Amino acid sequence: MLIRITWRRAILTLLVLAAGALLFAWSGIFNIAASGGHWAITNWVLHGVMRNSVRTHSLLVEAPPPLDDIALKARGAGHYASGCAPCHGAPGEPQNPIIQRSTPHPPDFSESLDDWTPKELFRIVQHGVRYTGMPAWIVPERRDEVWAMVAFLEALRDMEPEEYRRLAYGAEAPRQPPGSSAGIGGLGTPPAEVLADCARCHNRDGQGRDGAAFPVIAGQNEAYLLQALRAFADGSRHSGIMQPPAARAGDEALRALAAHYAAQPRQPVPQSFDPALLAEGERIARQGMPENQVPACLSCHGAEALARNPSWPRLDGQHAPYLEGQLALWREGLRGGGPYHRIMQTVASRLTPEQAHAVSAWFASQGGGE
Amino acid sequence: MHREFCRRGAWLLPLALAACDGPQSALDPAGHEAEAVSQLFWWMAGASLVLWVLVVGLSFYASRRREQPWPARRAARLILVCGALLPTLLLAALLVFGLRLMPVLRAPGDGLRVEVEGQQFWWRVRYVLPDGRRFETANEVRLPVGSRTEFLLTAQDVIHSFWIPSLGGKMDMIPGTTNRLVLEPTQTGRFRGACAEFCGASHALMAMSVEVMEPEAFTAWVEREAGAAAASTDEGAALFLARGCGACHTVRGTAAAGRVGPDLTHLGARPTIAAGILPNSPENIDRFIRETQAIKPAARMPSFGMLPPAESAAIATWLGSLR
Repeated sequence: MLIRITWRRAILTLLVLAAGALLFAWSGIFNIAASGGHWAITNWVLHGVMRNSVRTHSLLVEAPPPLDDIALKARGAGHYASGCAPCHGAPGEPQNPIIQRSTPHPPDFSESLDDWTPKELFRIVQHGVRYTGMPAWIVPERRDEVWAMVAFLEALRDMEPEEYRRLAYGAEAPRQPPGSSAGIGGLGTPPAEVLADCARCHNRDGQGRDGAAFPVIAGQNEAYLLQALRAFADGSRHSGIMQPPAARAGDEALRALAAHYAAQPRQPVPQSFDPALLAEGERIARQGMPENQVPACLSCHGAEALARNPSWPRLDGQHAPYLEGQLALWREGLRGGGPYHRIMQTVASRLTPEQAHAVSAWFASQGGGE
Repeated sequence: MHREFCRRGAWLLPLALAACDGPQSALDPAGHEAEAVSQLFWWMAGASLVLWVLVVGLSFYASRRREQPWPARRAARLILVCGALLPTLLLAALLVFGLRLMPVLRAPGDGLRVEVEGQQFWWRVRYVLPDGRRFETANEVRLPVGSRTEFLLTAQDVIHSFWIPSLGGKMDMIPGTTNRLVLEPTQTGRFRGACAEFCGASHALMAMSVEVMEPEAFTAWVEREAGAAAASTDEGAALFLARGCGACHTVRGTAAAGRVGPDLTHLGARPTIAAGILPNSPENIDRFIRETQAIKPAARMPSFGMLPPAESAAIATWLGSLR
């Protein structure tokens, strides 16, 4: 016997099916337990869709900066240890068994890292992956930070545990128990000593490590440091790397940290520059460019001005690439900060990249002593 | 309906004339140049009125007249006289009248020179005295009555236009070039100048205060203005420097020597602040410091609303005391 398909019957069938689906969802019979894992076919479909999506969207990603830069790798590693290793493991630090029981469970990088291209990694780190628990970067616009993480991940593929510990913990490595970054605690609980967390990258003396990976914060004005840390903590200064440690430290610890680093002696960072570049930088720093509405930098960042106002940062002896990077962020509108940051926002947006390069070099070449 | 319209129209008529006098009116001249312009305007307006009455009268007459053919020669003569001859004569007369006014306007000044540079959205004013001394001020022009002052006009960023309607002008201010304008005020009093070329978001908020003074009073003002500020070193002065204001603003007699924004050496003595848009009072200075971008959108100065209120108030009080 044949059943004739009419419009009425087709619509009726669809309605019945929809009602059935709703009834099924309402009943709670469906098992969402992570313990069972996905069926093989579900896994195959979901993973395939994810891979295709990442591949297609990575077409729009910009060309990567030189990823073998030790500064980029070190910056990425410091954040990896507290932000990523709790779920993904790390060289010499196998994945946490609790995490292994999640569905889908995050890939274990202590074993291997899939053959993603740098652009694909960038896409995943910047935007995260929906339905998997992989979060997006806190400030996706900070592409420089995302590239730092990609640089580290690229190097991670064949990284020895000793090298990982050095990159992730710096001088604190001997103090950290083995496998500590794979503890889930890294994401939320403040470490016993907050300073140890900061010192992984900035050292206890505030000089940083691995070239220009981290800014010199030794001997920085205390009031400025505290404003900066608070701005990182509440997100008004944009950074996916600095916000988590600043936010989990708590305000009391931030005050102590600002006092600690302000009290450290500032060592000059050895850097060499073209004299012509320094002369151009000095002209801008001392006289500004009134024709471009740029005041002299030293009228706020000079020694005399700093003595009057501890809320301004000192810039002498800083890494030139760091200063230049910050000026670039100001220009892009990605550099928030403490209550006074709009002043610098206004001024910095009037500097061309070449002028920013010159003036960064000049400040980097200055003093650096007490 | 028609009657109603007329009644309202009559009531509105004085409104149309209300703008004809006051501190910013080309029809209420207080200087030679403005007088010439206003004279030209009234002659042109009068002549236009006569022509208008003639033309409208003729067309009215033509519409009422019974149609009848005209000899071709008469019609041709009418077109020649009214369409070509009369306009040529009238326009030539107007041209001669206008040209006759120009040599007077171009005559050299009596020695005082004022260099004005337009910037978004304020005026940098530099006085060059006959004896060669110079001093800088902003958003305020004072002139001695009865003598010819030469203005050298330029712009820093975009095209502005310098216009003090009561005295004369206007003259465009163009980046990279200097235009010359000579003004001779004939009456003392306070006037208002304005930017007359659209120059950005706050173009309408770019004005200046103008005062024409008796020569003795002017000399006294120049002597005071050329000097440093009566620098009281109170809390406001210290805060002005500590918060970085001196990076952009100069207050002669203090460490503040910025060359980006307006010179504030004698701010307290100016009748208005923020380029002629707010009456000068410590409250208004404070408001301008805190809400710069709200009061003057797209101004080059950022709002300093992040300052503790007591600090901006102290700075405002100090600035208001600079006379």
